[in-house]
Amino acid sequence: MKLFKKREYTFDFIKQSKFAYVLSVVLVTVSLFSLFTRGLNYGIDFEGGIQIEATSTEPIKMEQVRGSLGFLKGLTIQSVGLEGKTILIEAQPTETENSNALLEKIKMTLGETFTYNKVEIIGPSIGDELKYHSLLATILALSVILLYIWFRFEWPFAINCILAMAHDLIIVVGFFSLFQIEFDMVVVAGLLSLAGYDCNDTIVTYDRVRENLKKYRKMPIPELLNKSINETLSRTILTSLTTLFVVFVLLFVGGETLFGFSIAMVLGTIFGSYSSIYLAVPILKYFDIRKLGSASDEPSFNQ
Amino acid sequence: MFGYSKIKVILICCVMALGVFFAAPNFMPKRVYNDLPKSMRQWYRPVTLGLDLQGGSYLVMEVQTDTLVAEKLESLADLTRSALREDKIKFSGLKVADGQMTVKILKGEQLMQARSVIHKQESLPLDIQANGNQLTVAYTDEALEKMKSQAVEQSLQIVRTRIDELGTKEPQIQRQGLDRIVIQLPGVQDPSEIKALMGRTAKMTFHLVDEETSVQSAQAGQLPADSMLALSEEEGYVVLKRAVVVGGESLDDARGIYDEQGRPAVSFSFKAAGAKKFARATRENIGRRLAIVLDGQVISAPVIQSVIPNGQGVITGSFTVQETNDLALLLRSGALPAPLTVVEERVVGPGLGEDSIRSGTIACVIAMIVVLVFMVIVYGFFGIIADLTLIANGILLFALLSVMGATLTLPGLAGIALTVGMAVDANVLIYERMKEEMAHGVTVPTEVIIRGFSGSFGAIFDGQLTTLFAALFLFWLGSGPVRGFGVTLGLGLATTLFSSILVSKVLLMAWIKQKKPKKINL
Repeated sequence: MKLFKKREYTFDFIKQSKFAYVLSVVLVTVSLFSLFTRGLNYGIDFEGGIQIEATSTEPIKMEQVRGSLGFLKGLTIQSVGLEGKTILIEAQPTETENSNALLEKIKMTLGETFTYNKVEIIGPSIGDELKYHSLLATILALSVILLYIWFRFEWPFAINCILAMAHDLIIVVGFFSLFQIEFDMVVVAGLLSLAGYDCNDTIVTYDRVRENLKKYRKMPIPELLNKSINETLSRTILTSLTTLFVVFVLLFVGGETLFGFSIAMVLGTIFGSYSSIYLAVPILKYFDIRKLGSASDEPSFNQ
Repeated sequence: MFGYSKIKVILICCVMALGVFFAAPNFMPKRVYNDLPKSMRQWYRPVTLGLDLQGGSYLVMEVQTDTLVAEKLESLADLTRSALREDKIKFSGLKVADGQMTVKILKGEQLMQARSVIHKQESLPLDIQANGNQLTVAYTDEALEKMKSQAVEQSLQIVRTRIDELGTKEPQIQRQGLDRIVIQLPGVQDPSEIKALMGRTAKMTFHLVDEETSVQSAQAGQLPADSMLALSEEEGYVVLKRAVVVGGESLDDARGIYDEQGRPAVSFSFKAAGAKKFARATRENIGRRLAIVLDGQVISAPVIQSVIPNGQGVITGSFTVQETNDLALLLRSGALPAPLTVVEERVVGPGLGEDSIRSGTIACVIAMIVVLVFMVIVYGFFGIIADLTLIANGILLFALLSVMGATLTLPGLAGIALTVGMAVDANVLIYERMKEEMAHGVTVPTEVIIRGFSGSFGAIFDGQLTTLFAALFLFWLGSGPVRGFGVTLGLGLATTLFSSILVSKVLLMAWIKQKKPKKINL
């Protein structure tokens, strides 16, 4: 009987996880620190205001444009693309001038040579509302996932999974804060799908832990956890790789709109696998999961 | 075999055939698709592209319900004023502020009577509090709710009429939340005209001019309670009687025309009841001036020359042709119950849309190819089976999106790419499980496959479900593009479950039946 065929990994993840705890605490601290001190570079979705992407028929003299639009409040101008013919303008309305008037003024100042690829005007109330709703949606999604895992597994699993997920999300958002990458609705979409993906990773290993708890009734918990991680390792790596391929393609080919989303997904995929292996599962050793596991009936999905 | 009866296999094949059929419009050349009969194209169509992909304007307008409440209270105050007078109830300090009306009843014994008089003026429930002789009147929460909800429904209707009249192509107008209206206009690059039209309430009323009060004395504060001072385009200010002779809601039709002097003007006609009112008012007030007031401003105030019995008239003023056409359109569509303001506006030009389609599609295709190749490298023959299920997945996803009339946005395309990356997970789980089973000594191919599937199903199902929760909240949260992402991600999970579990099992089963392999090389 070929009990141990090829690709049987025997890394000691549980031992290594001590270093991971330190690393994670450092990363989360740095992220939170940056979030509280630097904050996020909110995109127009959240901040409100006006954003225009315009292309000129002639090369744009940035200084000149900056000068002529200098009267605008909260003005930022960026060059987009390689040809130097497209700019991205952002500005805030004032008390006396609403966004519509602002838009007309900008169009008038820029003149006839420009065509407008994109115009976005977001009222201040919408921005705050979106911030609130994004936070709410994230919290609700995490809560529902927590409940589900609690029902399917046991509460230590659920709590660890959510903690690992929160850890990943904080680090990703922290990265956005640290490097002041624009944080908009599409990024939030990325974060939420990340939460789902991340959990998927953890659940696969949990599933194996549960199975092994039944199979090896005498095995010490740390050893059993380590075995479970190793057994699912090739799957974790393969799936993370394919997902990483995809998000890297999106990062390089997807264009400017998907940039933030792709960054979030790339980081999230990496940290997602890391946190399942080094946090979500190893921490289980601090709980008496064998007792819990035998007390509950595992819902069966066998076909 | 594998616990799948013939009927189940046939059903799975049918679903796939339907999938191919409904996904096809997305991949056929335009020419071929356009040759299909029109009746067929109505239900057989490619997935709708979002405004960020096809270019167009996306507007979110908010119904200013606070203004509506204030106006309602003002008119309640007017009614109350005349009703109290009629019933000889002495009062003072009748005013409207902060969403409530206050009035002081001078004689305490008339307090109850005043209450019932006020209640009679309004069909909606009122909340009247007494503090000594002071009455504070406000709408109940229930009344406010009803009022606002009605106003939004009505606004929706009027916005729809106005946009339809403009002849915009395939506009989409929907209510969003409590007090918002979303307008999507594919292909519209400059929504300023539409915004201008939506921004006007177009409330038209006819008032008699108060000839006894001069503008100067009115400005000095000597304004009778039943009169009001109004801005006028021609004369600066005019003093008008508050009472409305006829309102715009009685209008039947309005058209842009030219008057006898060839100047642009607007002709209008009242419905029967309005015409009767108009006739009586003109008969009783010959020689006096009748002001036409639009959104609080007097457009013109001509002298009534004779009775107008048929309810038809002409509004003249210093208009351009465009203005008369707009005004006629606004009058025809009716007045908005409350002002609308633009709170969100997203306009995408066709060039950017095309760029987005291109980069989104290229990203999807490259992602797909990379994943397909990778799977073959890792799993060899089984990788090809996984690839086939992946392709089936893509076909089903496009079919679902098309049939449901979902909107495909750029983040939606990212969602498809992501689905491709994550869909592989199910196959990987199954195959890794099969490997383990073989490592544990299972050799009979069917047995390996059955154990591979059953052993991994729980993890696959749980994993997909948690991502689905996230997708659901995204759908709830998102507007426009982001919602499109939630849709593709959610549907993608469903098709992933179907294709990677059912389809791949059928494929493997067919392979075993055909080749009858002795063992599995994974």
